[in-house]
Amino acid sequence: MGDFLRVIVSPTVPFIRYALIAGVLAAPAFGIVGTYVVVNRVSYLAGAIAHSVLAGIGLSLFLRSIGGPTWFTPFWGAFVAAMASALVVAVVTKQGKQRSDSAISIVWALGTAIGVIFISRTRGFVDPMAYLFGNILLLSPHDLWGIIALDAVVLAVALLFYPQLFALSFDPEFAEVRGMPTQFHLTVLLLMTGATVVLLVSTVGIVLVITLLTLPAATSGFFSRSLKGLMLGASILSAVVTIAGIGVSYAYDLPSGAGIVLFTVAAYIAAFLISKLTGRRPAVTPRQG
Amino acid sequence: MNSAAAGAQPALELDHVSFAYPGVAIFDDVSFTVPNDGLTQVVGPNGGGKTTLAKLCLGLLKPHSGTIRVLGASAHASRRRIGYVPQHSQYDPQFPALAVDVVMTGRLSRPVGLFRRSDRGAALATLESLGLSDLAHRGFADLSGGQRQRVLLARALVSDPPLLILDEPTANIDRESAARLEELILAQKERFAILLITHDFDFLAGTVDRVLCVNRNAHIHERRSLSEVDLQRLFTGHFHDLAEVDHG
Repeated sequence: MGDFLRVIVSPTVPFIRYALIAGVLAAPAFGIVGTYVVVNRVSYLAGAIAHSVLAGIGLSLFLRSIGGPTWFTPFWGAFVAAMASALVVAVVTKQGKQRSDSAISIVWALGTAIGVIFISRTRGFVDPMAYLFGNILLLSPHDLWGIIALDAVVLAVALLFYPQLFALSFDPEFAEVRGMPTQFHLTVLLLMTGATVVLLVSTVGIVLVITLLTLPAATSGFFSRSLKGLMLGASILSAVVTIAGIGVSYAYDLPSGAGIVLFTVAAYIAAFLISKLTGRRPAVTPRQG
Repeated sequence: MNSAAAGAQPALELDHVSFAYPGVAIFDDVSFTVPNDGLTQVVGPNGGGKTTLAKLCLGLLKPHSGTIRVLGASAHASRRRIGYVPQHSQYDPQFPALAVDVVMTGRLSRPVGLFRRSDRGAALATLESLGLSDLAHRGFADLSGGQRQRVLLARALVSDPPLLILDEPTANIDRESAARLEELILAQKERFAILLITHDFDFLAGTVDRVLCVNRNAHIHERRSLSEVDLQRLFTGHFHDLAEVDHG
């Protein structure tokens, strides 16, 4: 433990510090947006958006390898792809559940395929594993500023739209009767989901980031009866599992994303067992896409 | 008589309205007027179009032809002036929210921005006026079916609407809860006109002013023009006999 604390402040290994800062800063966004994703049961949409970011990461790596703009880092590539796929998903969900399911699968698969193609055409060695399962070595100080800015935007939007997103989540039809533009609010929610996924995509990886988005909210649902309480619990839990996961992956030289997900799942199982013992039922049940 | 009637505009005015879901025609050239006072009970068989009618009046569905006027304006323009209590299948009963937060959504009016302090005040005052103050800070998921229905009535009434639409309010609750709900509605009945969709013959039975029969078409009857036998027949689903109740 003391060793880990020394590493955090050590100037020679800044990436651990960056990963911890990114994880703790992103925790409220994960807690809040993850709660909306879980109560709206749109994990599948979030999964499609998360997987499609590989297209943006691949594009960025490819462009940089052929002398493209250096500012267009994989972080910003992921951001552009997440926003684009969130908009596509928002449009197709308008068509109703039956028709939108296959369209969302297309976003999921096509985004991944485009990413893989770009990476295969990128000169020099690129390890796709690092993007799929996370590698904190990929975090640059430049990206950290991007994470801070994006985090601030997500939190501001979450605050400004709280009553509207609450109403949309509880009873969308009633929200419409109150004159709310529910399709616009769903689009806002999906854009927030995309931005949140991007915050920790280099730390946790594309495949595992959805777990970090949905499981803390589902875990918090065992103990909270209000949406705000659920968000707060999920945010705290998200910060705790990120710190613990990074610490353990440093100590045992494991991939950070896998370490974080192990703690996330362990927390969920512990909450489940506690609720069984105390007879509490969860407010929400997780549904993985 | 009451503030709702003062406007003298009918609560609902359907003029040659037709509507169909893909492949299923529901209404064909339906016209009727519901005055803006008292209790109008909507009866008819399942699939006859009762909920569809409510959704047309709330602006959630658009008619394929014809016009719908609600409180003297288009359904779209009037929707915020309607207090709406949906069927129990429309919302997630396990949703993590406090009852007072649910009631506050009835005050939503802007597409962005936080609730005002007055919104919370109005929600608490409405809960109090319905004798539900003790439920305000309890989790919606922890409430009984009857308590949830009363909270949703508070959500509908918190905006002080001149028209209240209830869709099968007693479908999922026990007799005692239905009696409680009936009491609450009766206590405030003079403040709004009511459109009540129900299969429950007993619910608010003594106070019905008119009956709207909906079965692919719609006919309105003043209560006093119907005998007890007619009314029983409407409720027990003998719609083939409707011609006998002056549907010619």
